[in-house]
Amino acid sequence: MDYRVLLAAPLAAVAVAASGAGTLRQPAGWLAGASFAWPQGATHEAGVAPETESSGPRALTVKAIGTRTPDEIGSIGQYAMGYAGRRVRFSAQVKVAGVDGWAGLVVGSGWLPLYLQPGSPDADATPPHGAAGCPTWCDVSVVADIPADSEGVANVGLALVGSGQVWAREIKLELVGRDVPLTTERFGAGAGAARRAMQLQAQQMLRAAPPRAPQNLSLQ
Amino acid sequence: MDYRILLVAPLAALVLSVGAADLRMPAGWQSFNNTNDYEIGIDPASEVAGSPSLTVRSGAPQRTGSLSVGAAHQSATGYAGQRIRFSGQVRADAARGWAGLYMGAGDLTLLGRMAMARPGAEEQLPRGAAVPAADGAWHEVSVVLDVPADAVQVDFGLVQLGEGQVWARALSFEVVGAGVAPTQTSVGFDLQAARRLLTENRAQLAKFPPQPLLNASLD
Repeated sequence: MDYRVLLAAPLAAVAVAASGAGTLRQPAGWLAGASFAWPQGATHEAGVAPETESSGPRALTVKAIGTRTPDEIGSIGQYAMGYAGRRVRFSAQVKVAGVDGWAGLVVGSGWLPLYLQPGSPDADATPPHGAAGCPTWCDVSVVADIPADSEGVANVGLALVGSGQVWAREIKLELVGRDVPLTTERFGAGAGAARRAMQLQAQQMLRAAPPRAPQNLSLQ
Repeated sequence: MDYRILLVAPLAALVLSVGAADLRMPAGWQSFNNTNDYEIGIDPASEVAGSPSLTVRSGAPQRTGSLSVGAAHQSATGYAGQRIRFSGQVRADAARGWAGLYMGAGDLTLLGRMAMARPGAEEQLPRGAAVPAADGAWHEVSVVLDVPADAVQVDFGLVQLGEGQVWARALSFEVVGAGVAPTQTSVGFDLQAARRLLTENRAQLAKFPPQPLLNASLD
């Protein structure tokens, strides 16, 4: 890995988040994003699966661009307001293909895009939860509590860790009672650990790299 | 340096990427614009005059609150354990907020972390030297930092907090000796006010009734 990835990452990660990357159609209300691999760019693309546009229910999809590492994540999701202190169920029919990491539905809280949540410093305090899909369409749901002391954002979506592709259709978000058991699987715990380890390594490389003096103070 | 700064970046940078101003940003410099309230880059008038100046100008004053930070900045590596000085000629107009030069240990996410006003942000506030007067005249301003021995990067630049406009030119950056006193003042970002505002915002957001999914049919 080149140490310059560190310098590029903060900007690039977000350019990707904002653009949705790739050629898939971006449905209104949904925000796609993916890890950034320097210098190639986004690691995943997400949007509406083209093959579902013309018949049957449309499906969201997240697709790896080439072979990805276990710390690279793509996601597409949205922020639903008004769920502070409430228990939600996010459900869909989910299908996976060629997944070597993890793929499924995720519920987190707060504004950090889902693909960034596993590596976040907040991940231990407010971990996102997930439920994986299966090779043929299956019903998947995630039940999670949105913290009462938060701004009440249910951050819900579809995510893919590593290589492969995942689809979701018939997507629903609903309030459920306290009698519905919570999902216990934490989303992206392994990816988060891998990402943190890589970042520590990258810091060491940056430390050992030649100095980079200030640029263009003459403002040309 | 704490690795977590890399992870916190996106929130701050998210707005940064959307808030790109129309002004030319000189090579090597980045804009920081956390509330999308600022125009940042080279002042076109200065370019015509042949003496390019960086400027950060707040617009939409009604939205410029205690969280707004606009800056033109960059990072450098290789100064761990040294005393460095960033200086230039700086002028300000109508600066109701704080304006000046800043420098701190950290990468390009330094200002973003400051604006998030997390617990402990006090210890990481960058050093800052304000323009002495918002009188439209050029003032020599410099900020001197002792870079911690374990700091990989330093981040430095021209910053406007809240409302106002600031310019900088004739910039220089150098290692200085023990005879030059380090700057004792910090960037004038009011962390307490920022925390109050963030808490209020959170409370307001929490009052929303549950919103259904948008566009579940993926139209």
